[in-house]
Amino acid sequence: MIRRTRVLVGHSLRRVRAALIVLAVLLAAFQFLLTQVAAFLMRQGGFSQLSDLIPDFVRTAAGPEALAFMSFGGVVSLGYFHPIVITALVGLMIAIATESAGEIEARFVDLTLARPLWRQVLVTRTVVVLACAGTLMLVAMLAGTWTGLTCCVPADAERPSFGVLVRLATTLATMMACWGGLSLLIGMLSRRRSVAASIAGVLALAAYLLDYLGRAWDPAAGISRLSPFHYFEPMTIIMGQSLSIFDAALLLMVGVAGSVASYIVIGQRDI
Amino acid sequence: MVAVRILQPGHPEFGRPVSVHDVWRIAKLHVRSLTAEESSRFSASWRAVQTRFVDDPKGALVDADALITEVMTTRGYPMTDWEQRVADISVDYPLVVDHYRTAHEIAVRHQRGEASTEDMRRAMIAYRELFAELVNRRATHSEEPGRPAAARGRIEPDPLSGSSTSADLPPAIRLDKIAKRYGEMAAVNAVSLDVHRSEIFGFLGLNGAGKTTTIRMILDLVRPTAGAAYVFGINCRHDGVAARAQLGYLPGELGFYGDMTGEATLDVLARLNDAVIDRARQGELLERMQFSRRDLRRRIREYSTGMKRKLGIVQAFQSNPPLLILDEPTEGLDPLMQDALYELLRDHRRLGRTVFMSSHVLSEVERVCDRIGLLRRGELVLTAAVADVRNMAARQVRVLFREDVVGQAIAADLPAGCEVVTLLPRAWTLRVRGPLAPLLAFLAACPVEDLEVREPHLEEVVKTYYQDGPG
Repeated sequence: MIRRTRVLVGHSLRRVRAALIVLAVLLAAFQFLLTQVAAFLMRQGGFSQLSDLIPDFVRTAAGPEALAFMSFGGVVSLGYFHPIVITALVGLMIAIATESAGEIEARFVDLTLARPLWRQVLVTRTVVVLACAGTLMLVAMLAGTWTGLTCCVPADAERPSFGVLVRLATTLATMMACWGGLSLLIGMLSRRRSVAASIAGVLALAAYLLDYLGRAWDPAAGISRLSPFHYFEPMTIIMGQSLSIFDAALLLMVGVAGSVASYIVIGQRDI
Repeated sequence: MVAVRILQPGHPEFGRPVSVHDVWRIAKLHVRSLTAEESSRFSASWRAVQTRFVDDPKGALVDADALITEVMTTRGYPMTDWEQRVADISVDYPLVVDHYRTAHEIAVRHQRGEASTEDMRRAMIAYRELFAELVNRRATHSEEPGRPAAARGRIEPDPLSGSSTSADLPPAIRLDKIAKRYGEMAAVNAVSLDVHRSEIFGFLGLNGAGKTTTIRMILDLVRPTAGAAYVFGINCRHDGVAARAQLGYLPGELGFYGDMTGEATLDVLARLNDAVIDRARQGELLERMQFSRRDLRRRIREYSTGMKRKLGIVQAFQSNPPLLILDEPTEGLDPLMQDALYELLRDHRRLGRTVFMSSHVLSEVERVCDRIGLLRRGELVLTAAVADVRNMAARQVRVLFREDVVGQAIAADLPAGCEVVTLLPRAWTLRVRGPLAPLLAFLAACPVEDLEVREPHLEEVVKTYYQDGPG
C-alpha cells in the first residue's frame, strides 16, 4: 500500500508542481523584497520618522506591537503574517486539500479506487502533498529572507535572529496545517471541488474577519476565540516572546482532527 | 510450416484474422520475456505479415513461420517447445467453439439472405474439419501413456485466469440480495445473481435501471444498503482490496485528466495495480486498438471520445485481470474498433477469464455475450443464456403456396404454438413458438412452394421486458 500511496503522491505533486514552483518563487521574492524595503527605510532613517508620525492616541491604542513592527526586524518579519501571504498559503492548502473532491467530481477516482487500494489512501496522499507543499513554501520564504539579509542589508541593521524566523515559520505552518485539515474534511464531504473550495474559502475569510473584529472591538473578543486566526500571534514572536505552545498545539489539533475525520468520512461515504 | 498447421483449420472467409492473431498472441504469451524493443520490432513485422495475408495468404504464412522462429530463437527457446505448443493449440477446444460460432453466425446470416449458400457451406466444412481434427488428435494423444493431460488438447490453464473446472469454486461475481436505496428511492432492489467463470455476461437495462449502481457496489465505490457482492468468493465490502485485485474496470464516464498524456495516465494506473504490467501486452493492446505511440504522447484533452474510450479499454485490460467489468464499453467507438473490442473480449474468455459488461446495445450483447441479466427499475427480471432468450421469442415463418389456399378454414387447425400474423391466398405469415416439426407436418398436405424462417432476435424478447412485460 505504501508503494501505491507513493504513486498517488507523485502523481499529485507532478500535477501541481508548476503552481508550487511559481508560488514558492513569488513568496521567496516577496520576502527578499521586504528585506530590501527594510534596508531602504533604515538607510533613509524612515523608522524613526514613521514612529514620529504616529499620533500618541494611536500609539497607545496599538500598544507596543506597533512599535515593534516599525523596526528593521518588524518589516522583515511582515512577510510571515502579511494578509497576501496568508491568503496565498491558505488558498494553496484549500486547493490541494480539495483535490480528492475534484477527482470524485471528474470520476478519475473511479479509475484509481477500482484498483487494489484502500479509500483512505486518498486522505494519506493529500496529507503528504499538503505537508510537502507547505514545507516547500516555508523553506522558500526562509530562503528569500536569508538571501536578502545576507547580501544587501546595512551591516548595523538589527537583523531578526534565525530563531525568530523559524518560530514565525512554525506558527505559519500550524495555521496552514489547521486550514489544510479543515479543507480536507470539507473536500471529503463534498462531491464537487468548486463547492468544497468555496465553502473552505468563505470559512477562512469569515474566520479572518472575526478575529480582526475581536481584536478591534471588545464585545466581539469572546466569539473571536472560535476563529483559528485568534491563535495565530506572530507579533508576540517579533517582540521576543517564544512560540505559544498552546496556540500551536490547538491549531495542529484542529488540523489533525480534520484529517482523522476525513479518514472516517471517506470510509463511510459513497463515491 | 508451424504456422500453417495452426492456421489450416480456419477458413479464409471467417477464420483468417482470428487465427492469424491467435498465433501471435500465443507466441507472445509463450515468450513472455520479450523486451519492449523486441516486442515493438516483432509487432511491426507481424503487422506486415497481416497486411500481406490479404493478397498472398501462403506467402504470409511462410513469413509468419519465419517470424515465430526468429522470436523463439532470439530468446533461446527450443523450437520443439513451440511446435508442441502449436500442436496443442491447434486442437484447442475454445478455438473449435469460436469457429462453430462463426459458422453458426454465417448460417444465421444466410437465413436472412445476407450470406451466400457457398459461404455457409464452406464455413460448416471448415468447422467440421477442425472438429474432426480435434477428435483425431485426442484419440492419438490418449494412446500415449504418461502424456500429461494438459498437453492432450488444451492450453494449460493460465494461472491468472482464476478459471477452474471444479464446481466447488465460487463464481466470478456473486450478488446476494444486494440493494441500494437513496432515501425513498430504491436504485437497486435485492438483486441476486451469479456470473460464472469464463463467460461473457451482459448486464442489460434502460438508462437509470441501476446497472452502474450495481457495478459500483461490486467495486465498493457505492456501499449497499443491504446484501453483499462477492468477487471470486471475496466480499467486496469487507475485503475490497483483495476483491479489486482480481478485476479490471472500464467506467462508463472516463475521468481522465485532460492535461495528462495518455502515456502518463496508463503509467500511473498501471503502477496502482498489484500485477506487474507486461509492456509487451500493453503494446499489443495499443496495437489492436490502433493507438499509436504518438497518440499516447499527446495530452488527453486533444483526444476524441473514441480515443478516450480506447485508452480506457487499454487500462482495463493491461493487467490481464481474471475479471473485467466494463460499463458501456463500446460507447463512442467506431464499428471497426467495436469489432476489435469484441475480439479482445473473446480472447479474454478463451484464456478462461470472465467479462461482466453493461450495455444497452442489444445487437452487441447478442453478438458477444454468453448470458444476460436484465435489470428493470432496480430489479433483476431475467437471467438466461442468450440462446435461451432468443428461443423465448417466436420465429416468424412465411409460407408461399403454388396455388390459392383457403386460409381461414385451414388456419383454424394449425398446431399449438402457431399464431397467424397475416393470411393471404398464396402467402401466410405465422409466428411459431417451439419446434417447427408440427408445422412442417401440418404443411405437408399443402401445396407449399417455399418456406422462409426468420430467426428471432434477442431484441424482440428484451424489449418486452423493458416495456413491463414478463417478470
